Amino acid sequence: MKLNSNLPVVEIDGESIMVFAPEDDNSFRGMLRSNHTANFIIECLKEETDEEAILEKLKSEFEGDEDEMREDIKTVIENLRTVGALEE
Amino acid sequence: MKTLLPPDPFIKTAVQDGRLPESGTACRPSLFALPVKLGGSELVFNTFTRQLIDAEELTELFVSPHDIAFDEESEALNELIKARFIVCADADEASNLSSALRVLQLLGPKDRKKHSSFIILPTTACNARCFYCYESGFEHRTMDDETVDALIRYILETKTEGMVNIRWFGGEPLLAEAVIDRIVEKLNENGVDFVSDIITNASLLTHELAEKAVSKWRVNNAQITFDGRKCEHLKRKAYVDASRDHYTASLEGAQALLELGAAVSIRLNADENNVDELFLLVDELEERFGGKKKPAVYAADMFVGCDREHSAEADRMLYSRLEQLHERIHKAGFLRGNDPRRLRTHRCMVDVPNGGTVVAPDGTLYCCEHMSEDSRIGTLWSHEDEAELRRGFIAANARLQKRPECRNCVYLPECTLGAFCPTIYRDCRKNANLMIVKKLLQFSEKVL
Repeated sequence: MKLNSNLPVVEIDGESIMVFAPEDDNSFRGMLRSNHTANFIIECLKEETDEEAILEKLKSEFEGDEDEMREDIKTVIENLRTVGALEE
Repeated sequence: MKTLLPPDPFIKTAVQDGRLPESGTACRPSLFALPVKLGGSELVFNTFTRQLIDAEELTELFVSPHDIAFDEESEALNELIKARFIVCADADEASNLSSALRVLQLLGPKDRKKHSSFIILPTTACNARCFYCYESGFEHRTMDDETVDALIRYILETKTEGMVNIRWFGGEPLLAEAVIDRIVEKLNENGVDFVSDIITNASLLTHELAEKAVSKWRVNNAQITFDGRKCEHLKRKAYVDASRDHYTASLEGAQALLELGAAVSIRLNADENNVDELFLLVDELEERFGGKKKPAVYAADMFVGCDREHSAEADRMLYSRLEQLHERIHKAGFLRGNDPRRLRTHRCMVDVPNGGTVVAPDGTLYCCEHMSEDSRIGTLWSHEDEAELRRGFIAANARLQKRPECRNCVYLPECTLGAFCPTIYRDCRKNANLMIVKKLLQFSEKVL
């Protein structure tokens, strides 16, 4: 899976903001702010990857409970999937 | 900190409160914190968030900017950082502005590649010969019947749903009354719902014509320019037919429109030689229009868009007098203008979604009302590449904003892609300041 390459991502005060502004009127329109961890996960998703590969990168960058990290990754991916931000 | 005008709520959707740094972190006044004097009070306006505040005991920090160490115990500093009037010393505010504008543009109205407004030049002929006119080199042409027919087809093909706005522009559009009649007749025949406004010198605007403009052409707003009182106005306008009193005719035309319920906006064209005269003109306008139906009046530097030799001292004098003139206009109850509380997320007619297109008398289409050759986007008969050419024009002009001197400019949020382009305007900063103070003046009684 990979972040939709057409999705505009901008940075304000170091925080990534994904903007959803589809041509059609029925899809989600708005923006998604992300915290530090989510930012990292989104960075990983800019290239083709999977949950396990993201977990490995997250473990090498941050200290913490592996199960919690796994849960964070699932939550971010699920949120992105809900708004159509992933190419799978 | 006392808030006098709150920040633009639309900006708050993209930009959150400023984050408080650790104690001791070096901070500074925001690049976009502009000290303004209003009604004798020293205030601070954030050109990005559009918030106007009285910074109270920290006002001096904005008047003479310097670094300051963040102290978490200071309630005043906490508030100013959250409101983005003070930022960390290393903050990249120009990038933040650029990103926020992108977000707001993407979330704003969608561009359907259709037009909600049309600026139509029924003629480029004019009965005046103003020495400052940017159209002075233009060939005089009047729209013929074949072009009118093509114009109607173009409007039907490219207009957005619902009501559209037509602007009659020229030349002097009232010289082509018959052309406007024909366009309006065809719009009605084709069921086009429209309102219109007109940029005119109003010298041909008799009461009868004003009635037709309001009732048939659906004119709800007119912009009329004056250069001084009668003698100065006529000298500068240099009407071809010098035997007529065009000055009085223009004032009467403006009055007729007001009485018929249309809005009238009077622009006072100023340079260093007539700015004092314009104070006397405001006296005269006050006498004539002092009743209930008042025009809006504003003054502008007539050479602001020109590449003209100009001394810094003359400039300083002119802009200082223009600020005073706006105060005089405000006192007369004539000052109205754009709302300072909203950030313009689109900079000019060129990049606004579903924005306007300019139609010249020969059927040439332009995306910018200044009708420079690079803003040409086709003709009424061939306009397939219109959207692409418009994007190209935006890209070319957007590059102009990336000059290093613009990156640290307090007026960057005011800047436009083309019309207020720093490379066109000889002193964009003075002009931007004049416009901001003019906008804020309207609120001075309410907020102070």
